[in-house]
Amino acid sequence: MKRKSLALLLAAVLALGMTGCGSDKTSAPQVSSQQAPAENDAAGEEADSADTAASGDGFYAGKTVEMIVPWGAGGGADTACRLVCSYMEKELGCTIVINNVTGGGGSIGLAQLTDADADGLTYAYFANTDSNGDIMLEGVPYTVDDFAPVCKFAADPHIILASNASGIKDLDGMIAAGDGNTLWGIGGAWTHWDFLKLEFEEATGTSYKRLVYDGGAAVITDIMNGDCTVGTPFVSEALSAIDAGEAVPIAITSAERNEACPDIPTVAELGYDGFESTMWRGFVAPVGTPEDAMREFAEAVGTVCENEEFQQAAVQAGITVDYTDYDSFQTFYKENHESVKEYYESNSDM
Amino acid sequence: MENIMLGFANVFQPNNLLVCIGGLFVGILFGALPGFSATMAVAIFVPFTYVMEPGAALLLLSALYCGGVFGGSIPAVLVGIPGTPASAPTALEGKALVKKGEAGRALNLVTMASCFGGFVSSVALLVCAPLLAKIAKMVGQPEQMFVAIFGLSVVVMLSQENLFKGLMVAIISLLLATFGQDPVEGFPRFTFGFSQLTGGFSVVPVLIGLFSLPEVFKMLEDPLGKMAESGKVGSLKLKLTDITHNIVNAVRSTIIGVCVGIIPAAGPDIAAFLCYNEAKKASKEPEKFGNGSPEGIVAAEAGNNGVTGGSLIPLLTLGIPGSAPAAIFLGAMIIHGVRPGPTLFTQHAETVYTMIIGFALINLLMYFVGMLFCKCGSLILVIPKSILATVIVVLAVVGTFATNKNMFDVFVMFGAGIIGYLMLRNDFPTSPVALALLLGTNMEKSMSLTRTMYEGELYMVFSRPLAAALAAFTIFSFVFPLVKMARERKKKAAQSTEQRGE
Repeated sequence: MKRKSLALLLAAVLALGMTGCGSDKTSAPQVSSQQAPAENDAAGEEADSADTAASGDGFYAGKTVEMIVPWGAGGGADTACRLVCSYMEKELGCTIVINNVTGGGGSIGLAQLTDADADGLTYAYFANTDSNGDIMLEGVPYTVDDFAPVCKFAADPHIILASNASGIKDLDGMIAAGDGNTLWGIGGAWTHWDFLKLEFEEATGTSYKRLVYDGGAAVITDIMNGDCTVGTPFVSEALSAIDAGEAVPIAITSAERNEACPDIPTVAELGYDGFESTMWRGFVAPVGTPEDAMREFAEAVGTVCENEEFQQAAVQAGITVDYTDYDSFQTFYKENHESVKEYYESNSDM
Repeated sequence: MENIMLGFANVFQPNNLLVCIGGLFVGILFGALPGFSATMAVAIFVPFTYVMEPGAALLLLSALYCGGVFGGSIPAVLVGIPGTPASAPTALEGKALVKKGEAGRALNLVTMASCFGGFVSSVALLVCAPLLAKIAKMVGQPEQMFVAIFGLSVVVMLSQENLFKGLMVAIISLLLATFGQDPVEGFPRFTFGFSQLTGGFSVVPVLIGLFSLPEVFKMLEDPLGKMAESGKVGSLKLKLTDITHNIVNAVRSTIIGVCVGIIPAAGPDIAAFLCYNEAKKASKEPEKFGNGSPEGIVAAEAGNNGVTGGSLIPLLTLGIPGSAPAAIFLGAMIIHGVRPGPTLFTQHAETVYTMIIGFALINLLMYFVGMLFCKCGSLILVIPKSILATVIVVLAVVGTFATNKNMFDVFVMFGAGIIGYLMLRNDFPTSPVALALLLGTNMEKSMSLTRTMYEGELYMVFSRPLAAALAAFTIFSFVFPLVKMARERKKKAAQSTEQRGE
């Protein structure tokens, strides 16, 4: 009996501790997501519902939206989504439940989205190559036409890194090494890394040997020890290695320099005008979702992207905010689909 | 030094102490439930830490991580079902000790060894992180390939009674590990039109099915019969010899654990198997392994908890995560503006040292929290098996579904369970499946990368000192058990001729 009461006491202490942390919310309102498990203290819930009442009475007010993230909790896609959604909740006056449905290279979660009711209450995270899932992966039950594109909220550039051992110091040195034998590290087969490599080769008339890793961290490790010559990690992944002097930054692949590393020049300004290759992050809904609802959702994303507090949090999380509204995203979505498809079909052996 | 003292002061703040203890409770619970893992505990609580101070946030995640790795061993001992794959070797020995009515002793050994492993690894993190980081940088793809092959050599030891069956199981499981997209071209292999198989078999559902369902079926075979005899927990006290005999073993296992932790792509599960293997080789009583050897438990537990500190070394110094939970740590640290890397120890010294000192303290606290769990947990043995079996199946299904929120995985889990039961009935060892599935994918990836790097001159791999050393270890590890067996056979033959001579 004594044991039991001790356990109970400790559980109570734990709950108290959590409440204590919860009340920090007011002092550090940086990121609060209702996704935090049920331990969220009562005070917090009340504050959230007060927010709800204060917001306008659009389509979403008081409703619950499911956001499918086809990647694991804690990863890059998940972090970005949770950050945006925590601000969206205030904007729309609704609750957004994030559902990580993983597996099948992201196709399981997206298949679940296409099966969902097109009632404007289900959305999914979406990126560059997802609309071509049916071509790139076997047994994927959806095509590009099963999704209704909503908007884009971020476009993360890659930093081209060279290993210290390679002796490559700048873009010219790298292009000189592009004779087909230099190793170019890829963070995963047919992810955006592969498309960036193809776009770079086409723009500069070079060719590199493809070295396919499992994730960006492994590429950076091998660039540090010299096993891999060049690689293109995302900004948040690359900065530690650059700060430590363990790798040489060559250029960044966005159209403009990045706030987190303003010293690194863009590929475009080094003589390849118009070169831009970023991994974008956006949202889609099942096809047939009412347009009004999607527009309201997209506009809310737009307002969040203007929010300074959000922008600061995004920089810390390594996310480059880049909003495209509902109308522009429709054409962007189609163009992106065609371009990915073309690169894939002309470069894969299948 | 000043920062270390500051770290001490921070850790002992009541708030932070509470966070540590709370994290341990939740972590151990996650580890103990089959299907819920340390990685999951850390992932679920990351969003929750966004509102906390960076130091407290990292302490909470550390406590969840350590607790999760330890927790898996409690059900491994009590019901023979490892809560996480890292406790599979513990389950082999724990089951046998429970049968002998020494469940209490086994649980105490588990807790003691886990805390030792975890504590020493945090000291390694504090004292020699920069040195060990240099080793971490030397580990490239060829080295990872040899580590995977080395790991596979453990199969020989796990199946010494029936080498043929063990090898067969391992080879078939290696084939299973090739299901899904190939690592270079992304071509889907053996998916049979199921998009769910694009990423290959998820290891966790297969292992949950393989380790928990056969135990359930066994309980059902005899729902009432053995209930009376298995209700004994035995004393939780240890004999003095349990400690003195295992010191060398624990130190060796912790060192292996820390080293495995440093290597990306090899986590606590691999460490536990490797340490178990080495302990058996070094043991004076190798015949006890598989029949309730305390040495086996100590080795596996010190090893898998040694990984916890080890995997944070490359993370903190280079920004490279050494295990799956460490990768989630990385995300959380970045969100808090505490970017790992060489600048970490100068710019955020206070936060880092709070975390490292906290890590050591968490492992000490884990002994007390852990023993509390063991005492409560051992009541499981008194529960009628018909009820226990139901609870286990429910947990296995929920855990499997929760991992990926995917029904397909649940079917895979049941399939693996039925196959596992048939294997058990026909004396096929199941642990090589775990080993082959955990190592197979990594081995293939690092092998194809090594091949691209050294195209046409693969022998140049041996110009890398670490790779060459690992290759030598591997050969030794494969040959040693065979030589030993041959020698024993010779001895027996000699004895029998002597007898005939008399």
